[in-house]
Amino acid sequence: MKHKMHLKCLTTVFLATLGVMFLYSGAFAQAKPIVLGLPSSFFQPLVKSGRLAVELAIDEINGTGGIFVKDEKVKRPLKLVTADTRCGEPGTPVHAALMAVDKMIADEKPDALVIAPFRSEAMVATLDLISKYKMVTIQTIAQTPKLIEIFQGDPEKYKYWFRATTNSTYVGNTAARTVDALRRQFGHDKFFTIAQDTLWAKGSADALKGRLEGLGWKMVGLELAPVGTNDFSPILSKARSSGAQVLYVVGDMPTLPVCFKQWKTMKIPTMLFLDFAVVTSNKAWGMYGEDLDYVMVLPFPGGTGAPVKALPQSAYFHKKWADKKLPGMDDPRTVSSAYDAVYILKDAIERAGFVPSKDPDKFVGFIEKTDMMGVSGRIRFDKATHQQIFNGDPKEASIIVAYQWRAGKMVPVFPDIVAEAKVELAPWMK
Amino acid sequence: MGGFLWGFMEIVIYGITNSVTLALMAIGFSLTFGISGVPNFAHGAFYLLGGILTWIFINQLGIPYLFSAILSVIIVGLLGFGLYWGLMLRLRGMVVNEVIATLATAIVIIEVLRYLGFSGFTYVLPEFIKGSVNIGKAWLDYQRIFLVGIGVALIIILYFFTHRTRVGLSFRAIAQNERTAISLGIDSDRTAALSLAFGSALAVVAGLAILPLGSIDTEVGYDILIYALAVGIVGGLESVPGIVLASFILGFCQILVATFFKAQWLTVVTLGAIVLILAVKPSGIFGKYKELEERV
Repeated sequence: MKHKMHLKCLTTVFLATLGVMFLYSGAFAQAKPIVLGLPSSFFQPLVKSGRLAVELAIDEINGTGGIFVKDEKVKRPLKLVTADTRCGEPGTPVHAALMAVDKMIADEKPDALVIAPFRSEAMVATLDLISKYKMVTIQTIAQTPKLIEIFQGDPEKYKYWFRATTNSTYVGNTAARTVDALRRQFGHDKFFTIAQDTLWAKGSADALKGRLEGLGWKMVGLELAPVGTNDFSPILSKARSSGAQVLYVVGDMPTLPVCFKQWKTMKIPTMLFLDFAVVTSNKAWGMYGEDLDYVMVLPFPGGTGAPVKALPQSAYFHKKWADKKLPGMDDPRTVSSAYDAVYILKDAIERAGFVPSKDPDKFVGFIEKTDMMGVSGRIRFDKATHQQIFNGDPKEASIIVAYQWRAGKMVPVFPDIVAEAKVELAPWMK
Repeated sequence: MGGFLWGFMEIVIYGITNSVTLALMAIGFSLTFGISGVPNFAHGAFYLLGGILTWIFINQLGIPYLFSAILSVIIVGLLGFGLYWGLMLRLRGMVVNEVIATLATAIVIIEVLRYLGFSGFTYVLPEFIKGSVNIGKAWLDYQRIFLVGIGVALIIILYFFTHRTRVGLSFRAIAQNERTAISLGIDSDRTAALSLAFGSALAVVAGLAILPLGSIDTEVGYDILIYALAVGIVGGLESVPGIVLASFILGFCQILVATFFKAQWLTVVTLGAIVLILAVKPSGIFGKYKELEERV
């Protein structure tokens, strides 16, 4: 009898212990975060802002308890880990960036990566690491078409990579179509280019030239401005005497603001289309004020620089940014893509019912089937390239929007489907 | 004809503004070198630091523009003075060491500012007055008019300072013959320290006139040094009239090359002038440092 009592007690204690262990493990599972890795170059303003955008999305999601993972029957919060690849700083070799990514994956064991290395060559090299670790990656900065080429060379190997932003081909085509819209509106057909004397800026100028000449435009002048040029008057005089109606300026040097300031003070009778990231965010007005009036800009993707009425998510994104009192963006390019990247993962995890690291091969299929609204329109991926699809209709795909600065506001002017006003000529052109 | 007049006026007007800009960049460097013989390679870093300090005073501390500017000039001037007493005093006369020490100081200042995030395009100094004016068919912004005014005023003030004030006369005495000046009771080290302080302060004045045209970025710290050296080498490092003349030669050459050839040759003009002058007259147009060797 006594022995039976003992057995009963032991069974009760055992079951109670099991119960406690079960409860504890449940609680632990609920708290265990989904780890997002962000390896990029934090020296670059667009990475700094991109990180804030990722944190904004994470805060929003964690504010609702996290992401529901069906297979685990728990809501798991998101946690961000970062590694500075320094690949956006002068002189940092690609292998140093790769080591930073490798170390982060090995040490932090993230479930997925977002944003990813800044410089295209570092991103190209990172593809092999992504493949080696089967690390699902929603990449949002590097714009080179080379990434697609590599992916298409071996889709099975590189299937974990997705580009959730524009690429340079989309951006170049939109820039050309934006300029071409001026031909339809004003009958313009001659343009003059000022490019910073660096390889990338010359490449952008050449690409636009090719596209615009294909559309019937004539380039009436090309000037390369050495880095550090602080007087653009002789170049602008040439632009005026060339008879150009559109002036395309591309660069990123600290003295480039001198160019658009002189364009205004010298009253150069051209539209100014500025490919200069700094002036593509709302913050730029605070720095340069009315010098920016009538300047046309093209931040990418659509809605990242300023809200667009036809893109409701863009207004939401900018409102949340302002509500959180986040600092203004020095360079808004791809910042909204970083925000969207987190939601792309959330959406795929909820549909899949498991986190990417559990079965990356299977998870990739869920990203490929993404179909949701983001800041720049409808987010879908081209299965053949793993590139987010961009075209001219935000209901069908994502878009890029051109703006014109007017009295402190960036007014969407192209494409027509989202334009909120027509392009206006500067007063001295009328 | 109208187009020709337009183009001609723009060449003249922007040639003058470009020349004065170059003169402003170089004048502080030249003053220091002419008096103390110290090649202050931290000149560009002081130019940058002055701009950033002014930005901080205006935007972070809410101090009015004018006071911010004066404060920056004083602080950087004191830094220049400190640089001499703290470092250059021990190296005086060892030219290579002087170059290394001032260059290292420049790198430390610029890279610390970069580390602190003072790069990019956030840091913009306001123009004194916005807008532009039409001069003989050419449009010119008020900031450049101010810039020319500041440049001309500085040259005049410097002339009277070095010819009419006690400190200025001691500057000239040391520059002409240090040993004789010492024998007459002039404190050579104090004068040299003051010259570094004045040169550094002049770098800030130049920055305050030029930086509102664009934005402040750490890279300008290096760019300005190159321009200052180019003007100094062509005109004669220790000669203020030489600096002015060289600024006008280089300034107009740059505008003419960009107008009649291609803007990408602008850098070649500057560097080509250095090579040419070093081959023909190493002391520069008005320089006297190697005059004896040149005669021989």
